[in-house]
Amino acid sequence: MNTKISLCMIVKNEGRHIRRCLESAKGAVDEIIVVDTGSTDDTVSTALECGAKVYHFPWNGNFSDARNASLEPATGDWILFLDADEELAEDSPGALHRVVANSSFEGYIIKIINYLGEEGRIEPNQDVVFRLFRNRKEYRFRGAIHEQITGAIEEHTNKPVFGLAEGVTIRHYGYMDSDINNKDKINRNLRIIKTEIDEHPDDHWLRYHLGVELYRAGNYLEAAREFSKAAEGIGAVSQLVRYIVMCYHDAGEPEKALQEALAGIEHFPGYADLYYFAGRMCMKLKDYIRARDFLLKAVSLPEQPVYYASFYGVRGFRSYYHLGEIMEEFFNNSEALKFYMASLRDNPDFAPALRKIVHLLEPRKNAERAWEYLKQFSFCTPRANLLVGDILFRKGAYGIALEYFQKAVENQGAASEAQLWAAACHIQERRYDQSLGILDRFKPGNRLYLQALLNKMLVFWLQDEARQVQALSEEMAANGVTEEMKNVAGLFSCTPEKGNRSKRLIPGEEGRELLLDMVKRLLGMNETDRAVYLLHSLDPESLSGLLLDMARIFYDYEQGAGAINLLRQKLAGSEDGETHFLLAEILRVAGHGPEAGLHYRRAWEISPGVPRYCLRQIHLHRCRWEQLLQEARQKYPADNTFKNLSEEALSG
Amino acid sequence: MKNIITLAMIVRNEAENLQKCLESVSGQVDGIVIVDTGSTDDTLDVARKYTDKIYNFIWSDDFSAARNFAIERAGGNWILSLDADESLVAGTGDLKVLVNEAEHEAYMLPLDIPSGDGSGRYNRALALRLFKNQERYRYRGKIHEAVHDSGNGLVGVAGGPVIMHKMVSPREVNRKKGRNLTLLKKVCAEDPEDNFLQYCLGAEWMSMGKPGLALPYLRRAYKNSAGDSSVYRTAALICLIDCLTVQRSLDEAMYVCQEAMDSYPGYADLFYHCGQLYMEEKAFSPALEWFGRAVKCGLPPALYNHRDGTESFLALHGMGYCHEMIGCPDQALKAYRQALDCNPYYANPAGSLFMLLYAGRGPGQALQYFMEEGLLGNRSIALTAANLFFNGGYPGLARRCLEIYLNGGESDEKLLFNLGKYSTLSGKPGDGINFLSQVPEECDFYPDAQLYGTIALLLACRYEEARGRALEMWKKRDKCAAFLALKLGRFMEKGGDLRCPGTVAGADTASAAMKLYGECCLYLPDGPDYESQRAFKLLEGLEVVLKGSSRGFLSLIEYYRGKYQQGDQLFNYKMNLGQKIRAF
Repeated sequence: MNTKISLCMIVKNEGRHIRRCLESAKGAVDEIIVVDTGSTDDTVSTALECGAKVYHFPWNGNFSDARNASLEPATGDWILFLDADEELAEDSPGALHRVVANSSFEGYIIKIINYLGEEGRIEPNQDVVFRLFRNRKEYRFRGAIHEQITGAIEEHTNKPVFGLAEGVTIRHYGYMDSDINNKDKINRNLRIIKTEIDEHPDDHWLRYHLGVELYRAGNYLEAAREFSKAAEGIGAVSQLVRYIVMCYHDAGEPEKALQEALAGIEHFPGYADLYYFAGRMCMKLKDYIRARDFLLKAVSLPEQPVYYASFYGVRGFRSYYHLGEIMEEFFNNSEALKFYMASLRDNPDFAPALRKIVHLLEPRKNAERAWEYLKQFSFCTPRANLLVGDILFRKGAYGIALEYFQKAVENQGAASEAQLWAAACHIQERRYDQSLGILDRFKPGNRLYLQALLNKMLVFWLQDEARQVQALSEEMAANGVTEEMKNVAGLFSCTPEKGNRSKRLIPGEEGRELLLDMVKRLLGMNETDRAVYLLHSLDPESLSGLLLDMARIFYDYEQGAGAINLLRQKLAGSEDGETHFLLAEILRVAGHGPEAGLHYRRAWEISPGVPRYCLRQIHLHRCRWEQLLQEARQKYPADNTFKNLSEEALSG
Repeated sequence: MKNIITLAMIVRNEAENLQKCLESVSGQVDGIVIVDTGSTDDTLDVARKYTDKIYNFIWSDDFSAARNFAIERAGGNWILSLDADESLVAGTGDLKVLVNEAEHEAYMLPLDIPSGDGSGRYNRALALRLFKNQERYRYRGKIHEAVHDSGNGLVGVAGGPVIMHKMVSPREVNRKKGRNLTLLKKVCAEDPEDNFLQYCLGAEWMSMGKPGLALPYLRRAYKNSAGDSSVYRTAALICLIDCLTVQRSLDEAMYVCQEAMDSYPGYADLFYHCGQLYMEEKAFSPALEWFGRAVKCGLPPALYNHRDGTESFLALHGMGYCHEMIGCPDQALKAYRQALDCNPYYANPAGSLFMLLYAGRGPGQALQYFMEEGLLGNRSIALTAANLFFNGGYPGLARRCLEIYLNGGESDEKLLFNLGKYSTLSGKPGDGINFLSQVPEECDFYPDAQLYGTIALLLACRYEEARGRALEMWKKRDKCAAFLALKLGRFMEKGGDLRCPGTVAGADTASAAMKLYGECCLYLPDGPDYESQRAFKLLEGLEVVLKGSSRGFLSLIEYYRGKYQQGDQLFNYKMNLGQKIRAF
């Protein structure tokens, strides 16, 4: 006999999600029951369209009552319950039927993948949930929120009751930031759950759920307290331990988080997530050696059991990424590069690793090598190609950047973002006609039209064609340019020599971004005077917040003297380790050893946790030692002492 | 019968010490006998104020003969024996009470010897100094003479009065080193069976830094004296362990140490040495245990030779170091802190504590800890911390340490000099000039104070005054430094020629320049006044001077090698802190 499955759901205003859910379940279940608790959107009609039997149940503030109402009309042998923001993954329908056929269990837990994060940067992570059980009258939900049914099932049978539904996967989209930010929902949940706890103060699982809601609401310390209380009752459960660690982490208490992670490792010595978090905490505490060991341990662990609900990437790209960061702290760039490569190989969508790789490859200086490395990855979507191009462009590697933008153009077509970028690359390499040819394809009405105009203005400004610049500026004004862009574009109406110094710009965020991008591009073209002109058009206060960033850009583009000026200006206002460090780096390279030493020392005094500051000082002394030895050998060629010393130095 | 106590002593050129000694026995003894062995100073004038029983004795290279001569001239029935550089500590006991209630005919009295580390603490020993005026108690030994009881009676141990040895300056210790060697060698050869003399000769060689020569004597003295008094046998034992340790015969040292524990139970010094030996072997966990035992054990029995601190601050310092080495910085911190609490004048743990904080938490945090814990109110700790800050390249923080100390503490020439130097190199040459000019002319720091004063003037752009100061130095004594200062001044002002002769007035220009270069490299102004290019100009000038001779060049190279290695070590040390990694 064929085993029948009923899908039972409760919904309210789920018009956005319900079709996806019901479509995914169609082949998997034999009937669909949807209980609506008061939708005012098209949820009900969509459900009917998808072939569901729809019922209504007036909302009474109790999730269990609604759930149980959805069970009443079910005729299947098994009940599957899902939320509207969930769906069954592709292979699940077949697997679901295999699981229930000839089953000896009363219910099943199912693997669920939660998709977290904003769109475009989605970070999936795994968990397991109880969602499938035999349809028996005794099995009914309990609890006003986080309604549970497992308790009821266990009370009515004394066999081992639950299994894992092999091959079945639920996808859950409800944690996407746009949804999770829905404060009303969190507050509603918190309210219900607190009332429940007042009624059942000894229910530790309720406390666990309270902790989860508090965590989502951003009340990390309060959440940690509830989790710890829950742990007293239900013992160390893997996710509970991880939650406690995460609470302290997010509350900015790394010592406590580390302590909890270490305690957790005692219970779950194979749980990768705990090593990952321990490693992260050690990084926060600047204990890099230990951090490295924890992260290496995390990546060395075997595949995690489903019930650990291990986060995606802790045994892979995440840990590799942070290992790369640690290596960078010790100036071990070749190792760092290896780790970043491993990270990107594990997850080719992980943009931070890509950024680091490009940074370390110094594509402006060594385009060949960068190309060799990047070729190892197939960035197949236009989006991916755009991203790689963007990163390369920002590093001043316009040649290879163009290659990636052109690949994206093949997919995106004319007058697209990729085209705009390609035109920018041409400008950077002074192929002005070619760039204008592309930019002319952007017409009014195109959302990138203003950007195209700005680039055109840049082209003419670079050639000192004031009339053209003026015309373009009028064109911009006629097409609804923002105040911010207008101000930046306005700077192109003067030449650096004649620049009007009396009027200073106070840009907002958009203007600042635009301006910094322009400065960077000008430096990338060796147009230092123009870059400095743009910078000095800022009002001093706006500039002061940008000094370090600007200096770094100057330094990246081999404008050491300009960078030194900016850094000195910065230090006259406020001191910080990074500014001293960068200044020391530039002075060291320029041969001002003792002065560089002074700034390394100050940097370390301000931020003693940064190994780079120490290491560079050692490096400085080592270089001075070797340089002086060489100098001495040239000056006193007959003196064997120096000859012997340098041989000794070479061998040691 | 009424007890009568006579002080019997021998003296030579002790005018400086004698008065204090004789004052201290007033009311404790009934008579004084002084035997002079050839003073050429006012010793006898001092002596006459206290007694008329003064005798002359012709020196015959035999301490015992002289002492016994004194005893034989004493009346009364008890003898107290003191050296001129010793005195009785008031309020620590009454000799009359002691002899009136005597159960023995001879007593050992506590003898405190200053530990000589500036800590103001003492090592306590026991010495037979009070005995019946009878034929059977006479001194023996031409040197390291001791009272000997030919009747082999029991000797009592008194808790007081305490004899205090005068504080000995390191210079005096140096002067006395080896003084007795010839005589000792002679008497040892005459009487090879005397274990005590063998020990004395070994100890003498040790004090002269010749452990290889000391070892056979110490071995023999310790091995053959199994039945002898623990007073000097434990001294020989500890000296032997010390000797074996410096000789790197660690296994034998360990064997001797552990074997002795059976014979001398409750002897903290042995536990401490055992910890030291394990530490030498880098076996930090067992070392920790032994240091712990030393602390738990407390003071050893009075008759054992004891080094102050082995049962407390020395052992705690060792514990701190071991904790650090096995990666427990928090426990290390605690142990160092306890060591300082036990003896705030023993500054070594302060140095270790400082480095622990400095490397682990950074210079700012280190200063904060020392401030908050009130440690900088202690002169030697303040100086230690300041010196370490300075050498690490933080003259401003070094200056802060001394400023904080001076908030409550007394100023002195060393503080003034350091404060002046630190001020100058932390971008406050004006303050530097002020402090340095207060250093008095007759003290050891004066020449350097003059030199740094000149440097401060150069940094303050006061070239004319700098030249004047340099010329003054030239007239006095420091021609080489004066020459250098003049050259540098001209170079900084007008970019003058910096060629220097190899020596000026017999002093090496390269080494003078190097010393200055090394310290000026530590220049770091307090605030963001990074326009102080004059300091870099000064360094540039010094570098030219140094490169002018191959010797100077070599010292410059060695300087950077040193800095590089020092930095490397500090970094490794820093990275090892807290590195104890769980055994997964």
